[in-house]
Amino acid sequence: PKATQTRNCTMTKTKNSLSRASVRRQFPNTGKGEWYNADKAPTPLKSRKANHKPTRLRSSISPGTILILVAGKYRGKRVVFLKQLESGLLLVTGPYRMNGVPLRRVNQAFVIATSTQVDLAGVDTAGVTDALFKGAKPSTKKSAQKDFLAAEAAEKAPVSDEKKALQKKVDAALAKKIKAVPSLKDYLKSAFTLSSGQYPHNLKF
Amino acid sequence: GKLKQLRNMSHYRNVEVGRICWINYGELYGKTVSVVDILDQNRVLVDGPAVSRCQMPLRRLGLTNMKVAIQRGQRHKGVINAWNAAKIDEQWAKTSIARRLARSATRANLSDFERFKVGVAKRQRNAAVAVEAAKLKKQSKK
Repeated sequence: PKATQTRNCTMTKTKNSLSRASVRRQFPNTGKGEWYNADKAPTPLKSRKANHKPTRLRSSISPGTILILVAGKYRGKRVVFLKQLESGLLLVTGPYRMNGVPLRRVNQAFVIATSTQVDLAGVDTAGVTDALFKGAKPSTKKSAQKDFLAAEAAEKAPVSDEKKALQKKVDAALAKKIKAVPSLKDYLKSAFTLSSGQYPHNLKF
Repeated sequence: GKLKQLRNMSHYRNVEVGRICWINYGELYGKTVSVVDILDQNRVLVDGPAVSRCQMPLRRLGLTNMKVAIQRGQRHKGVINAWNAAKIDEQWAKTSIARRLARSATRANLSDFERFKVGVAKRQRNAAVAVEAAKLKKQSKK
């Protein structure tokens, strides 16, 4: 609605401050209007960037929980949840020797949490952060033949030594804990499947 | 006549006051009740320790061969006393239906890990059976 009237009153008291100039904004149909303070500069909306809260972790997921990956390259695999990273993603590991799942980030939306827990005492995951998983940035130049080939080579780059070392360290400690529980190693080695008559909404995990 | 004679023979489970039934459909699935009164062709009044007194269509009831000694319209306390005196809960737990229900409930509540272990055990058992079966087959061929 257009401002159809202006008035310069002395001491017009609006909600936030006293104002000299106030403008009336009129709604065409009802003729009702409201006076707002014309002197006041518009306040920007509050930015939520300062108030960064980490992604809420499902109550069924806690360090040591065995998760079932439901999507992606390792769908169906049962993995151990280690910790939630800064980005909000879950850090999981197979362990690698048991089911081929390396230290990996996973979104909790694509995960089923089981009620089985592994004791993580003595498993040190402090060295693993989001920075470890950042891939090489693709070239921003226009695609010349050279750049394409270089980019492809970068995609298939072998796993860094740093990652391998961390993988070994974490998995070694974790494997001990897993072997302490009977059948747990076989459980992690096997994949989750649905068979006839099994419906996910009826199953308990 | 003959039909009445047959009905009074022990194999028949009659819908009568005091007959113990189990509920085989709906929210109260698996619970046992006693018939307290007969309302019409299709409905009875039931009461029991696990179920508060209500009408129940006969369609939802499976009859058992147990009975309690109560009067028609017996109030709740009287039903419970007769129930306990006849030790219905113990007898019910021994029946195959009760055991089947318990087994189904256990299976439904298995965690993923437990389900995995059951699968492994089944496979081992079946493998052992197959070995023995093969032996017997070989013997019978000779």
